[in-house]
Amino acid sequence: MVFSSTLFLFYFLPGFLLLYFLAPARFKNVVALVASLLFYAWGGLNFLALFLASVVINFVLIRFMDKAQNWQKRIYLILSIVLNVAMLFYFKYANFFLENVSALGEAAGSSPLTWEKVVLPIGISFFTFEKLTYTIDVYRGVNKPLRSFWDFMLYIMLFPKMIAGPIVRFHEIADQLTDRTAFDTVDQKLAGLFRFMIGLAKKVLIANVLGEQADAIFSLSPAELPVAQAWLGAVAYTFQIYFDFSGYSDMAIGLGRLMGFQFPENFNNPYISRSITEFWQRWHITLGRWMRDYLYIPLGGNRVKPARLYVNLWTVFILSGFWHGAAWNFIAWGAYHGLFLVLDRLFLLRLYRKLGALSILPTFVITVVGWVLFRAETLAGALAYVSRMLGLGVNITAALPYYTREFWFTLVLAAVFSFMAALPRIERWEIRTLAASHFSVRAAAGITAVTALLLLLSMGYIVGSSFNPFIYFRF
Amino acid sequence: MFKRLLLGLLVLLLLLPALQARLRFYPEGELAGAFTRAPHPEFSWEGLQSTAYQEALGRYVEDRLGFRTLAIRLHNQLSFSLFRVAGLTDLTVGEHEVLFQPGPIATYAGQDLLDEAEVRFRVRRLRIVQQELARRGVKLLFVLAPNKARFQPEDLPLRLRPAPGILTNYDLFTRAMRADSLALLDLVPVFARWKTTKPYPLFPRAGTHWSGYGATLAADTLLRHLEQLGGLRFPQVRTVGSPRIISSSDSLLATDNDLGWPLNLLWQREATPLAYRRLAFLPPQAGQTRPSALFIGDSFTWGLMQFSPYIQREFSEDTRFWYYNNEVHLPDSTYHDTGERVAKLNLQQQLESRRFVILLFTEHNLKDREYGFTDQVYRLYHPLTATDQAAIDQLAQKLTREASWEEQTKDLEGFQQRIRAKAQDLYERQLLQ
Repeated sequence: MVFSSTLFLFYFLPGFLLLYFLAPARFKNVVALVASLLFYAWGGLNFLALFLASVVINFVLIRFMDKAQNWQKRIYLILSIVLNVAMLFYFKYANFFLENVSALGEAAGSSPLTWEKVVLPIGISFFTFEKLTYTIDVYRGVNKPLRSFWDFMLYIMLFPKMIAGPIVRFHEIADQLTDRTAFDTVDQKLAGLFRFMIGLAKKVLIANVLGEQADAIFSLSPAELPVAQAWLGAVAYTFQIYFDFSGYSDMAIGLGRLMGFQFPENFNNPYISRSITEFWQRWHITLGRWMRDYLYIPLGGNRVKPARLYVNLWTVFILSGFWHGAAWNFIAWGAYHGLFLVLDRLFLLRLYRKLGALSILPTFVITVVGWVLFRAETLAGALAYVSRMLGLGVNITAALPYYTREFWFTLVLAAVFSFMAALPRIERWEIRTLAASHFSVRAAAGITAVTALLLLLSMGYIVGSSFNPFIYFRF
Repeated sequence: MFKRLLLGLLVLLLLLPALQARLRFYPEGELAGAFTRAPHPEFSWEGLQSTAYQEALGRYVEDRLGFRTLAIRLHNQLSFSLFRVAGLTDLTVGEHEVLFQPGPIATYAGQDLLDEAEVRFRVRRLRIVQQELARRGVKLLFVLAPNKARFQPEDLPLRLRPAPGILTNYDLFTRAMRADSLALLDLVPVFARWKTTKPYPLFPRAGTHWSGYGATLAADTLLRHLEQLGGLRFPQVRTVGSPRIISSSDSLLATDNDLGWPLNLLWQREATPLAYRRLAFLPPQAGQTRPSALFIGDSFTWGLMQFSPYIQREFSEDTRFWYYNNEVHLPDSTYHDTGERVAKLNLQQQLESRRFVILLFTEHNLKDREYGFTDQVYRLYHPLTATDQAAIDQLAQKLTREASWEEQTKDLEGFQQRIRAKAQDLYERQLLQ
């Protein structure tokens, strides 16, 4: 079940909201948990039992860890981390490693390996990271462990965020798991629905339209692709992935607010970044923070020699790319971004400071090229596509084929929404609108009207179109 | 309190489609066009585990969602009004909201251009068929119906207007037909001339065929042409008063809105006023006759019977329409498939009992070899001899040796039939050279 499906929007969501709003405060967690179980189970029962078992084991291990002292405490920490990472590696990366071992074996002359393909449980990347944050935060003493197993399960399984984020660290909502009365207001609920519909519209009205054409262009043979069309496909995908993923995060944040949860922001207009360093402060913010706090800082952070610092950056971003997918092109994407982070520290940041706002342009171009690495099916395909973008190979200067007005209009709309926050006044208005927690009567009526309008438009597109995938659902 | 009301309204808005799906309290109407609805899935644990049940239930729910037709119409309306996109159809929206099918546009742009030698071969066979029928007292006439894209290229989107001088099948066929003295009624230049002289639209904005007005003018021209060709006189058709003007899309007749109704828009488009002539078909007088005719054609032929009963009143009762040389239709004001199929009929008897055999196709169907009619008639009067069969067998063996192994083994029986047909085709071409 996905947020932009008919079943979710018009059956699951209103049903859940009615039950949740009508339930007494002490039963709201129960309603949320049952809904989350149903939501996850809809994607298949086979992984539900495995998932629940891992939740139970983690809860028990962490309770023991909290009561243990000194070296015993550390053993429980290591045990929990190993268990979760092993689970992630088995389901997500087993195929990748076996394929590469098999390929190496074939190159050495042995027969190829055969094995049964391991199926990837949906959302495993995200909830594994959340289990790790819980473990580490309790170990570090940031928070005491939850007394209730059911509250712990709710934290892990809360349906708005469990499949594709935001990655909510335990300490960010620990108090809200047991007491959300401060956020249980009609204003928060209106803001939540408003935010949800903004996300839905981003996904359905913009990402889907651009994604359909991006897919068509990327399915062409790179060798026959005119340069202009190659860039068009890359730019279309650049906007598709932003509106797809940020739309999903908006929906998740909105659903959370409807329930009284305050999830962290995951996007802050990443394409107005003036450097790749700034990009990663604006793109998938919760992943960036996770990587920083649980990987980069333990490696030494900024308090090491420059050479070591650069190695740390590369390591973190290669692993970040690898987190996204079990394929070489994802590793290359992470390495690519790591490279520019190093270059930023070497000289690019000083250069960009001189350029001022103009540095948005080279940063955007770097980002677009990066998304090609991300989007291609293979590393070889990615490199071939980038070569075409650079005009290498046969010189094909054909004009762009025909694309509909809808595509061009949507592309322009996406560009406007992506870059308009570069103007400080607009950025402040945007933050003020999205962060508002109290509305005047007039403002409430206004966002209600916008919410209803976005719902109607989105419904028309959902029912009238068959193209409706989520990119980050496969991670 | 007011804010709670607003929140309640939004939740109700989310609930309404499900309530409508269950209660159907608002009449939505049906969408035009062909579509399927997913069946209710049968529950099973295997389906639940594999998610097949969940996926099927999702499709079932989506197909029956309340206000689904309104949502689709909303989507189509936005696409049409803002982006000039005709919803989920393959239609092109041109200037002044004129609708075009892709076929007429492609052929007008020369995208389906045949080889010149191929066209000459086909016309030569048609000529032979014409001669064979003439020897038996049957007159063959090839009628070329106008192509909407060629008729009004100024209404095509700018990107789809071909450069001047583009060679098309129309050019090749008409040139070859005239060179071979084939009996041809080319209505393309006739309509082009009428475009500036006739007071009413000859093509509807939302139809791909000639309008009721254009079709009846074409029918008059056809009758005059057949009178000359056959040396006879048809019963008189008299115009009675001025045409009836219709502006409402819902009231347009026959094919005049055949591209408009699948749009499924939220608001009905106002049609360009179309004219429908008031005609009186007089009974035959002395010296006038209703000849027997066989029409083999595409959907433009409907225009000769659905707007006004030209075929029904001017031709004999045994006149038939072979729709794409496949379905046997009784001429009628509405669709009247007899259920018979051309392949089951006695071709010789069907042909030789007629006074006229009329082939009627529009430009983009020229490439389709009259849907097999010409080949069938040619082979009827030019049966293969034993020598011919032997030569064809040799050709088939040669083609078999040249074919790839994969092609042969994929579908052995089908492959042999295709090779045999191809060999016969090649052989017949050699005979005509």
